[in-house]
Amino acid sequence: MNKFALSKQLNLPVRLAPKLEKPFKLTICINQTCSMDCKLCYADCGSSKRPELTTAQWKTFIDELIAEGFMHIFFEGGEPFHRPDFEELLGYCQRKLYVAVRTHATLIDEARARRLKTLGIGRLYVDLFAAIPEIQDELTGQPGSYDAVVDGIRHARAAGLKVTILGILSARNAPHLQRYLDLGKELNCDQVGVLRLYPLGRARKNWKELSLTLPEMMTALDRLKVPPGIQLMQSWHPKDGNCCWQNACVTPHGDSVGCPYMREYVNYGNITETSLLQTWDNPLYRRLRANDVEDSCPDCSATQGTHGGCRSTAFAFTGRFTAPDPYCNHHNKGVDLRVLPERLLFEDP
Amino acid sequence: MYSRNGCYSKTPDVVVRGFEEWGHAYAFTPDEPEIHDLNCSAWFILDLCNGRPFSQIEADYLKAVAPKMGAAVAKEQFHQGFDLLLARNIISISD
Repeated sequence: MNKFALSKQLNLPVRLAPKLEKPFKLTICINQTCSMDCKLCYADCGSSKRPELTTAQWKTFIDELIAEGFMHIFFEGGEPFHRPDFEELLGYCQRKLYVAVRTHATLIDEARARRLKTLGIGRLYVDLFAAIPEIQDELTGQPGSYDAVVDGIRHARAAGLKVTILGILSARNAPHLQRYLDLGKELNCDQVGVLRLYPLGRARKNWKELSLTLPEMMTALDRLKVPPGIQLMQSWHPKDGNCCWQNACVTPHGDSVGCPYMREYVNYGNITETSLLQTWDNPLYRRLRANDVEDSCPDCSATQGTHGGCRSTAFAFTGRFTAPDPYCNHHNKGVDLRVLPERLLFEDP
Repeated sequence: MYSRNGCYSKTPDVVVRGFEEWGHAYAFTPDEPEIHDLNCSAWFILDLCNGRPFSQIEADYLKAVAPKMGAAVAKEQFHQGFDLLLARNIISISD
C-alpha cells in the first residue's frame, strides 16, 4: 500500500508534494506560428502581433535556467520546428538540460530525426488530433497531414528517438480512441497520452464542435484496451493532479505563466524585464502552488499527492482558482463541460 | 559489474540537483537522455563516489547507515543503490 492510500485508510491528511524553493523543469512555448491551421490550436497561431523572443534572448534565458539548477525543458509551440532557429536552440541546451519537444512531427524528415537524436532529445510528444486520416486532415486544415504525422513518427523511431503519441480527447476522436493505442503499438512507440481538451485559443472558439460531456469522456476512456508494451497516460479521475506546485512556463513573448494551460488566465511577469525566479514569487503564483482548494477528491489526492485537480480547467469553468476541477467525476457537481461560461465566449486574451 | 579495487566518481557531464526539502535528488544523464529520480540512499552513495575506491565508499556508507538499520540490511541497500547508479551510468569507474 502506498503512503497516500494508507493516509486515506487511516483518515489522515494526504501528504502533499513539498513546496519547492525553485522549480527544476520548465515549459517554453517557443513560438506561436505553425505550418497548419488546427481547430484545436491552444496557441491560436498567427493571432498575436507581439514580437517573439529572439534567438539571443532565448539563449540568455537558457543560460539563466542552467545557472539556477534547472534540469528539464519541455518545448512546445505553436509548432516548434516552424521556427527557423529551433534546432540551434536545441543545440544550445545539448548535454546541459534534459529536453523534450511537443510537435506535430510533420516537419520531421529522416535527416532531421537523425539530427535530433544527435542533439540528445529525450522524447518527442507528437500531437495527432484524430487517428483517422480524413478527420485529422479536416481538423488541421491540411490534406495529407495524417500521413505526414505518421511519417514523422516513423522517422523519429527509426532514428532511435522515444515518442509519445498525444490525442486530445474531443468529439471528433472519442469514437475511435482505441486507434491511438493500436497506432502506438504499430509504430513501436512506448507511450500514448490521452489529454483533456482545454477551452483555450481556437479550441475555445470551436468548443461546440469539439467538446464532450464528462460521462462521454469517461466512457471513451473506459472502453480502451491497452496493448502490451504501451503505457497509457491520462489525467482524469482518479489521476487528476494539481500540477501547479512544480510547473513553470514561458510564452513566446517571454511572459511567465506557470503552465501552458494557464496562458490565457495569468501573467506573473516578463522574463525580459525580470528573472524567472522573481516571477516564481508572484503572490498569485505562490497561492496556486499551495494546494489551496475548496474541496478535494480523495482518490485523486491519493494517486497524485495534490489537491483539487487541474487549476486551469477549474478556473475556466468556475472563475475561481480555488474551485475543484470539474473534469473529476467526483467534483463535477453537474457542470456541463460542453457549455462554456459566458465570459470565455467573449474574452480574448 | 564493478571492481572492488576500482575508484568511482560521478560520470562526467551528469547533472545532479538535490531537493533537500523533498529528501531526494534528480540526475540527468546526457549520454542516454533521461532524468533519474534518486532516493536518499542512492543520493548519499552518489555523494560518496568522489574518486575513492569502492571498498572505502562501501565502508563509509555502512558506517553511517548500519547503526540505524543493521549491517546486513545496510549492505544490501548499498549494493542495490550502487548497482543502480552504475547501470544508469550516473557513476563510473575513474582513473
